[in-house]
Amino acid sequence: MAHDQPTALERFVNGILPENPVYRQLLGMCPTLAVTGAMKPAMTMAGATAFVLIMANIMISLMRGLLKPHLRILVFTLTIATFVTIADRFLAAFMYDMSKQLGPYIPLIIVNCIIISRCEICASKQSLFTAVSDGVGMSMGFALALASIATVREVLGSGTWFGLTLLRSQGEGGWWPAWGIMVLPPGAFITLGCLLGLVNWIQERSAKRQRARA
Amino acid sequence: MAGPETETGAGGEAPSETAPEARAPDLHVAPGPHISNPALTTRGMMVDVLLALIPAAAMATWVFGLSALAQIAICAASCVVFEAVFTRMRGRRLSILDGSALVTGVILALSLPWSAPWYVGVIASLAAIGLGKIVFGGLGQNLFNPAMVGRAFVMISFAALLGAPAYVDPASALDALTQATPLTAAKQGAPVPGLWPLFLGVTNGSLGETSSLACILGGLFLCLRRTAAWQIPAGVILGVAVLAGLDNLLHPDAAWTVLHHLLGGSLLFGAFFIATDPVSSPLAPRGRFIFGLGVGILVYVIRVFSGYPEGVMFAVLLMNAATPLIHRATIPRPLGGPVPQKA
Amino acid sequence: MNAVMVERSSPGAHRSEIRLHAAMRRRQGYIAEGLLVIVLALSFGVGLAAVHVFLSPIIAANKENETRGVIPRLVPGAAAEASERLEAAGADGKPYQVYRAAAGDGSLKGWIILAKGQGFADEIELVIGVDRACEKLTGIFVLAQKETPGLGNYIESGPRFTDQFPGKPTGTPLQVQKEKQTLDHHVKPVTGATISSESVCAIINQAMASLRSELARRAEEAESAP
Repeated sequence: MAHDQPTALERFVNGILPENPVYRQLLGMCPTLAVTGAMKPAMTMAGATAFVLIMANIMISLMRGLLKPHLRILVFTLTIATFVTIADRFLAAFMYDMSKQLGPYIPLIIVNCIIISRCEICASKQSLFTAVSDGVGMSMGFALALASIATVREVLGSGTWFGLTLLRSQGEGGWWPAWGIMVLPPGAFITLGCLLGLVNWIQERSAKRQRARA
Repeated sequence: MAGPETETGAGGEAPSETAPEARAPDLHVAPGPHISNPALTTRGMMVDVLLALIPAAAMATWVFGLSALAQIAICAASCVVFEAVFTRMRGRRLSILDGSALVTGVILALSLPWSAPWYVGVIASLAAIGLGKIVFGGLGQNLFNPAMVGRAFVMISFAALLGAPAYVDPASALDALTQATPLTAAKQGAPVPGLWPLFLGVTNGSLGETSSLACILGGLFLCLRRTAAWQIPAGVILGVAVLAGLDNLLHPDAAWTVLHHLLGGSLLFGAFFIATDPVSSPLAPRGRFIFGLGVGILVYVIRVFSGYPEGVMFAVLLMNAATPLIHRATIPRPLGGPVPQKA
Repeated sequence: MNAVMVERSSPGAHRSEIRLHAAMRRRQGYIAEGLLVIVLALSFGVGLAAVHVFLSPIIAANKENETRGVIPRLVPGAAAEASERLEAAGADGKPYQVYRAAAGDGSLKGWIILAKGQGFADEIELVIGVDRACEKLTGIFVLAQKETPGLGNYIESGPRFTDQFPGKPTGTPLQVQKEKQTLDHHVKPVTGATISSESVCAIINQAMASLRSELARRAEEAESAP
């Protein structure tokens, strides 16, 4: 069976775009929609998720010989919950503002399907090295997706990027009519829908081109 | 008659023997829904709506000056352009000739304040056509009234540009513009305008909504032409009138009366031109009335109990969302008994 | 049960023996798995406890500093560290969190009150600074709000709405006045966000009405004490 599994490099590359957790697998929608109003919280979330994902992959991969099918979900959850708690406490201690802003969404990483799906699909079946590269690839894919959504929302919604003023909004005496809706929840759905459509469109075009070449 | 394809299960009786003879069916004779009136094309309907909007647009131009015409031109042009671009992107037949995008644009323009900058009209048109219509599959497929989707989008986005203060220009030479809109005035306990100005439309407000007279003229034309279903405006007006009437009975000395509720704000404009959108409202006559009633009740509730002075936009959008439910509840029964449900 | 089966037929006996064996193995497996989960839970628990022990003082300090950090900004001359927290019951019986804002040498400079109330969209949390005798506001700070972006949220950021509060009287209820702010207790609202602005004033008014006399009394006590 093991030789059917993708290699470490494939896992890494797949995570970033071909199997991007948000755009291709539609996993982890809760943080994708909830914390992408601006780059700062989005990237904090991406970092916290990456930490949990990579650590959980490492632990599960190390334990994979001991896991029994009916116990695995329990062990996955236990492991993920531990690292989520650690991430939450660290944020509260060293990035208090972000921790307050992200509120319940950091503890909610525990129910982020990306993590448990990687434990199930990759870490519980493959070696430590593969599991780590899978975790890193998927985390980068997730960060990329959050960053793209947060960029659109923050630039349109507040005229800033990472808190830096790009377009001075009218409220602050500038000219940019900030699209308030983009900062609000509907903006998350609209942006995600548009970007998802864009990704699918690009995918389809490149697939068509490949078919034409073949 | 319960059709032969009904799966009644092993123990079920044969349904065909007893049912038809048990009771003579009530006969409602109406043309089959598939027999269309050749005069009732999409294009014909849209031309009707545009004609009906002329009084409101003329009144807007008279009250608000050329900015009204500019607003209409911007919104109509951008709606048509976006419709063309998006249908092309989807690889569909060009649909701008049916005029629906034009109607969306004009209604959208008439629902905005006179002071809205040009980009607000363009972005609202983008949202109306893109998010309100094309993503669902184009004309006839949309769940929500496109014009109201566009308006809601910019209303939430540019609250500072479209909220109550946007309507007022204290330095304006035009008398109407120096005062708050009637509903805002009512909300803040300021003196309310008389019924006559409200009826004629020489008050402040969104472009098309100020003149009740113009809305009634256009609306009656639409209803008489059967382009708009009369049940919807009737329901809206009844809904508001009953609730406001009750309130009036309880507080007989309130300055804002039932008639103010009916003539003020965009109630009549919404009842005749927005709620009657045939795509996003129910099909059955009873359903249309329920839909209208729901809009009326929501308008009243939003006006009285929320932070917004006017509630037509949200009321229509909410009832649009309820339209599939109303459909289910009001499907006319075909001759011979209910359509068998699939198990 | 196995014995009965053994007597009945010999191929069955063979099968049942295998089954018995498998059952025993499975039971051992259960114990091993149980142990695995227990060991995991314990070690994770110990890890978390350690993290908690190391981080909880920092987290507690963060929470404390959140309010404390703004004290020097709201009460001139007060130092964040010298101020102490106390509970004060308002005249309406509602408990308020109050800080005694003091200078480095411990002398009373003013009071900091945490107050919250309903805004346009959600609750608004304010930190209000008042002078020693609780006669004038020395500043306000919006701790948390979820007002409409681009409109109501300018009570916190944007052209400074909060800047007008220092020096306002606490005795007369603050009043939002759109056109001209002629009197001391008139407040200029954020354009287009009258309700949010009024909410802020209402929160301040309520806190002042219920705490004013109590704080003035405490200030007097501090005065008379050596």
